[in-house]
Amino acid sequence: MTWMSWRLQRSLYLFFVVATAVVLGLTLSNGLHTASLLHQWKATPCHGGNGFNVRYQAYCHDLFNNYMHSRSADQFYALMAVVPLTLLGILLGANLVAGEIESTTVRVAWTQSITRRRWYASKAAVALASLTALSLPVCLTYTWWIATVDFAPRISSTTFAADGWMPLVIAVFAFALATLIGVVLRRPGRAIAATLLVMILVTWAIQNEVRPHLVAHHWASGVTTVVTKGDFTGANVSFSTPPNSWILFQGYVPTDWGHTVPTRGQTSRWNDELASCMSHGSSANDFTTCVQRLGLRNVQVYVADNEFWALQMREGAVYLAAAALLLGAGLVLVRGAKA
Amino acid sequence: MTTPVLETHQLAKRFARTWALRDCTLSIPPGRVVALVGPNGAGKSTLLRMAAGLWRPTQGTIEVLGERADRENSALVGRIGYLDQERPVYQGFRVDELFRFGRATNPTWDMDAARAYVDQLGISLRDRVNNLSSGQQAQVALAMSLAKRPELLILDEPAAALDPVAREDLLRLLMREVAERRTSVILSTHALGDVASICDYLVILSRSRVVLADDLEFVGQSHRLLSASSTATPTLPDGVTVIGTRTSSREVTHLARTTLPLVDDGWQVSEPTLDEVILAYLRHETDHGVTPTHELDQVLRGEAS
Repeated sequence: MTWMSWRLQRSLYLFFVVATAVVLGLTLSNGLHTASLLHQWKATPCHGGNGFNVRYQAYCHDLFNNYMHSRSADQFYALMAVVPLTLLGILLGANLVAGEIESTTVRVAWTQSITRRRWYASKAAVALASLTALSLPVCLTYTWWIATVDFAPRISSTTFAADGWMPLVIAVFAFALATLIGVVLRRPGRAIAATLLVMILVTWAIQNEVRPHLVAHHWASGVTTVVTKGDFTGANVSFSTPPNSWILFQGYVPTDWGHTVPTRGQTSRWNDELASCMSHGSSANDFTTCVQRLGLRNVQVYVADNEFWALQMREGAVYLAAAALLLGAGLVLVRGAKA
Repeated sequence: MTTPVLETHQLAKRFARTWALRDCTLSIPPGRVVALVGPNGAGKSTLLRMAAGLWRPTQGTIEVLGERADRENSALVGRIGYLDQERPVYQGFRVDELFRFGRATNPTWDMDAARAYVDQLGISLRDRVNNLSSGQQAQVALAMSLAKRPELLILDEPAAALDPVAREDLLRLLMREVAERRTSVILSTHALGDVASICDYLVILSRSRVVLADDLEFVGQSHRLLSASSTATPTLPDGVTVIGTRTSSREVTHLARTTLPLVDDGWQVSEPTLDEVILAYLRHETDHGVTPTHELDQVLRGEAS
């Protein structure tokens, strides 16, 4: 049955192997080029001191611009880490059961001397193994690329879904989702369309609604310093937030506010109160007085960069647990499905 | 006592509001070649797919080879060879790849037999299935069913849409298997000629119900054509159930099922052909929408002696 499962997906899989190889080649090339530019910019003379950075200002400026230009396609490369694998997962899942129902070959498969449970498990296992085998070079390449190109902060950047093992787990989830939808809709074309729609909603929800709650939040209070330069007086706010942290919130909250991220409505109300107070004066001292009178403090809520792998593991576990549930539901439905 | 190859009790299958099969009570003895006959939509494929474990009944029970037809009973499924009406095969595969699949999923698979079947038909193992004609695809599909070495072959219109040569080849292959291995066969067909030439048991389905199920020999013995002048029609004798009537300006002819020997009381009695019997049942159902009589219903269900 393993051979049969492989034979059924072979053409599709090999097409994606070739496509992925092309994408990885482009990514490697871009990573090496960008890393070279970054290395040159960070080295002497641009960061060598002794006035070199002034003497070579134009050269360094061009170098930095070239580096930024080289990494400007980050969205494209991040998508290329996720989209081909996810698409492969969806196609494998949609065809796993629905493809055979549509072509009526389930009437051949389900009348051989194997149970539907074994048939389904074998096909799913081969598809998952294939998906994993193709995902490993993708995950390794993109993790290297993101580190090399020096995106920061990694934990909050748009490249998070392309980093670590996320391309693999998202593809596995897409496979499981397409499999279940395929069993329900019984037509692979409809299953692919429905899965794409659901995947967009799920990834948006995970990124915006789930991810921030998967790891502990930290708080840092802002220290306001009044700076006077000639006739100008300004306020400088600094936070003790570690570098490369993922800032979830920054703004004014009441001094007795607990360690939760306030809602938009709440922050809007406090900002309105502050603006109303500031209508009587606009100097830095007036501002500091208003903040104290209203009992507010400036804070940053953040996730530290060292939580990156914990967040990767937990978000990956959410996807994989959901995938296991979907595949289990698919098995239950397949056992009772009409051929 | 021999175990029936197919036994159903009050079997029914409903799709949404439509009954595809109703009140189907049957008991088919082993070692027979059974013809399942009926118009399109009569429930033939529904019955066969439930027997193959592909569909679950809505009501009633169905036992195949003495076991409840259950899709998770792989041992039972292994004893059944099934060929669907649509003759599905994996289109991109070569013939030897199909056989490899058969061997991997069936412990009783006979690879030598499978190769011999297609070899006799001039089909190469390296041929791609989608390059074969529909007749050759049907033969490959039948070879896959036969190579399982099943005790029961369930064939849903195996020769439909085949040219006469392909049809002949396929039926010859089937009959040789039956003769050599004494495999029980249930096949649905619209070709009444096949019924007489290869089958020895007849089941007629019409309007989702079984209207006749019996040995062909007994079907022949229990039906008669009763003819009389249309101007002086005598009373029908006792024990006669009229299935169909043909009337002309000079003569009335009833095709009737008889439970008692007929005595000459004004009727001219002759033996009908099998085609006449089958068509009479199918026409009766079309005209009346019900089974001939309650008495016949009882006979068919085995309630009457």
